[in-house]
Amino acid sequence: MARAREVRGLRCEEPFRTAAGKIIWTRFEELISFREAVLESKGDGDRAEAVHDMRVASRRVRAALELFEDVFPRRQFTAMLRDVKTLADSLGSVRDLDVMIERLEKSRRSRIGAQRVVLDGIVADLRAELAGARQDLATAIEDLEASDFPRRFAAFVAQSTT
Amino acid sequence: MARARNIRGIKVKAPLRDNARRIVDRRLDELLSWRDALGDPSAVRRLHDMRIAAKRLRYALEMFEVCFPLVKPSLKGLTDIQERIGDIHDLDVMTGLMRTRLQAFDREAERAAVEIMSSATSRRESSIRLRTLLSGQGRDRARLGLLGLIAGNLTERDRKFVELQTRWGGTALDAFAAELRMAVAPPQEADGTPAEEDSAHADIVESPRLAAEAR
Repeated sequence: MARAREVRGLRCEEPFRTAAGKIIWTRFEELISFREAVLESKGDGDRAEAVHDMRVASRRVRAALELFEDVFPRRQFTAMLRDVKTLADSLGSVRDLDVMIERLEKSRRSRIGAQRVVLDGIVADLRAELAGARQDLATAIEDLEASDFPRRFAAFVAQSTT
Repeated sequence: MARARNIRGIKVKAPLRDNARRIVDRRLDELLSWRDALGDPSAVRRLHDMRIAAKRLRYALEMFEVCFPLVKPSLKGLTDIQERIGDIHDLDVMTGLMRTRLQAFDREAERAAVEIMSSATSRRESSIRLRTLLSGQGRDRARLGLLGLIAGNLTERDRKFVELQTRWGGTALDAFAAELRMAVAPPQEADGTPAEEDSAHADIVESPRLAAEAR
């Protein structure tokens, strides 16, 4: 798991409100930095790693938003949190399947014949489900971009924290 | 998943450090509120909620680490809790997948039994055919494979749960909480002198156990 990026210029003595802007914006930049790797990685391993990193980043954005909730106007906050949650859920669906497939395949090596056959069947089903989840994730990212999410998010953070 | 609890008393114009202390305190309380899951292996849902609470606390600590440099050991502890419960959760999910498949076998057998009962011309015939059906199921490799996998998962889960209990049961979480509260306490409080005006830490003073530890 990628370590959270340092929040530059963050000081403990500064007002909670301005700290919120620095933290949330750093976490958001971190989140969108994984976009290309998630959508364009060719190998399964690279893509799985990118999805994992982006999912963790999305959770950090969500956690930051929830912690700094009091800084933002209620309605805008709810809408932004919902968008982040949509993305996080799509990433989570892919990641959970990646993890499960990896675990089952690892477990397969030490199993007897009958159990291997069962595991092969389960993995095949999960792979089919994974293909659908990946497509849903790509759609979720494209939908957010089509709704100008990065710009809206930047404006949302800037308006309340500067 | 349990929703994160609201943190009351946040003052957006007050320094980050003061609010961060309050947040960490609240998130820690949330984690501790799920501790009874450590005493009940069947508390799948509560154990999951405990993992999420550990994750929320860890993210908060990561965010505010700049204010509380002494929280590093707590971060490691939280990662350990998350990983241990995560392993158990993965086993639960896998077992669920396998049980669903096993139930499909049972539904298939039920349908075959219904067909036998409706078409047999005598009780003796239906009895023989049902026995044949059951013995056929007993030899079904896929069914045997599933049963073996489920049993293996449940055994591993039991072992991992005992390991979790051993590491974090008893007073281990209390010690973790006390260490974390000290790491985020104002300097005079960390020295052993209670801070009178810090309401975020009121529970440290109010808790007889923690007060005794502080003495």
